[in-house]
Amino acid sequence: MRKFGASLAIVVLLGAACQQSDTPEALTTGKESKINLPPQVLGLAVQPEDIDKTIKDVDDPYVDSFGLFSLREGPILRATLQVGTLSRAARHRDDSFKRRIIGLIGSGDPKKVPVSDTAVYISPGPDETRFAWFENRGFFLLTVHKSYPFPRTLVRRLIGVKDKLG
Amino acid sequence: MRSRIFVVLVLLTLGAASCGERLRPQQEVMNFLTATQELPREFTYKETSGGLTTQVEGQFDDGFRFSARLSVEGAPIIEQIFSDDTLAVRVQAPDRVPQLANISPQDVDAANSLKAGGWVLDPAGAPQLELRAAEARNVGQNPLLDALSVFDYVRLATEQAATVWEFNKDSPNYNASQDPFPHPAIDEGEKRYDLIPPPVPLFEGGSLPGTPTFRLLSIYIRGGKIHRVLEKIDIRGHPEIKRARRTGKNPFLLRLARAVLEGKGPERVRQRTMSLEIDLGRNRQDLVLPEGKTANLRGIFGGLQASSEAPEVPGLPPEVTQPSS
Repeated sequence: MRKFGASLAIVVLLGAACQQSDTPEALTTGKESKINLPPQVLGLAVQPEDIDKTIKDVDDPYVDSFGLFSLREGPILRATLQVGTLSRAARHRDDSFKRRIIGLIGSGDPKKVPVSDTAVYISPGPDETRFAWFENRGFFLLTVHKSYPFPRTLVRRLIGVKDKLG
Repeated sequence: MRSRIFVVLVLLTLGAASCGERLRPQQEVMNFLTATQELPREFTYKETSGGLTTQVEGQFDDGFRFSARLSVEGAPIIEQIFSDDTLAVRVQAPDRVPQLANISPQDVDAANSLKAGGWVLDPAGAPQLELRAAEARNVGQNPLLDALSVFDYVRLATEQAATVWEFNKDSPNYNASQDPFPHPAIDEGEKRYDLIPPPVPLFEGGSLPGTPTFRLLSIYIRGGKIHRVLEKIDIRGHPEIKRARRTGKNPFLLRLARAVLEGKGPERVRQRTMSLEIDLGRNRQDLVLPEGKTANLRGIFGGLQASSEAPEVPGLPPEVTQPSS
């Protein structure tokens, strides 16, 4: 569990790094991940970020793969989406396991909100709001800057993307 | 010696049993709240306080899509629909919506559209994603917010109760003369849970009691879900206060009641009756945004903060995003 937290923290830290990176056209991340997203969501360009080098040394029994995506409006980074595919060792149907993961994403107790048929955990921060949810074995963490005016619509669109985990 | 140990042991056992009895319904109520608040539903929230009755009817599709219609004394005031980031507003009584007074120049067009009575939509007008605990604001200042956050309110009330009992009219704890609410339709599978208030202090020396001491609140359950909540907060009607007034034997209690009525306690106790009716019916239609004029509503509905100076019937302040009702 602690290792998952460490891995997640690495990916969270990468959110800042992705602002300077040049990104490829491909919509899946490298061999470490198996995540598929459309090239545009709500008019934002979805681009995978290269995190292979960063997570190469992370040995996490709960995570099979990671993906980090930037969502940009022109040159402006509006949001990042981190996706973890949970391994078989992770009890992805276990509420207590989920809550422990959710407990890592922000200060305080994230608010659980139903969106369509998905439970979304919301953790507002001073500069951004974090939305987290689970889909099958996937764990999704969307970090949206407060200046972006359509955070809820973005969450719903991303939840609506089918077969994100390939 | 052995008999003393045995007596102590029996008392401890009974104590533990009674603790178990006490905690179980409280946790059950929490579970009912959780099970109900995530479900699509329609609701009617009604409050009467100080002779004024406000009612909010609404619909909850999910945490990002919901609506609320406010009326006061039966007269429609304002209607709001939240659909993801879009806020749609229609005003039926502009003179009762304080946000439409003293508007800044850039909001004049939007305000005029609202005063004309049609729907006005702001695609990015839904409030900021702030979360505010129920106890951090005063109930009664904003009926729309009260209605949309009523599940948080009931959760807090349940935590503040001395205990929670499942209704049983044959229980020695039950006192029909102090029960203002209808019995559950047990033959129809309905159950009722009652929040039992903390006792009023009977002697000088303690701090003044707050709302929980004067609150009667019952939660009605059908099929494992909440379908009705009834509340009465009444200082003068508290049994101990009534007895003190009738007999004149406890002047301390009369002074205490007066002090609470004057707002000298830890909080201002708002005397009221409240009812929440929930319909989980499956024939409900999904919320649809109406046609209307597009305008920036954030200048009008984005700046109001709850405060002691807030008007009685304002529109929705910015902290509302995830309704609990």
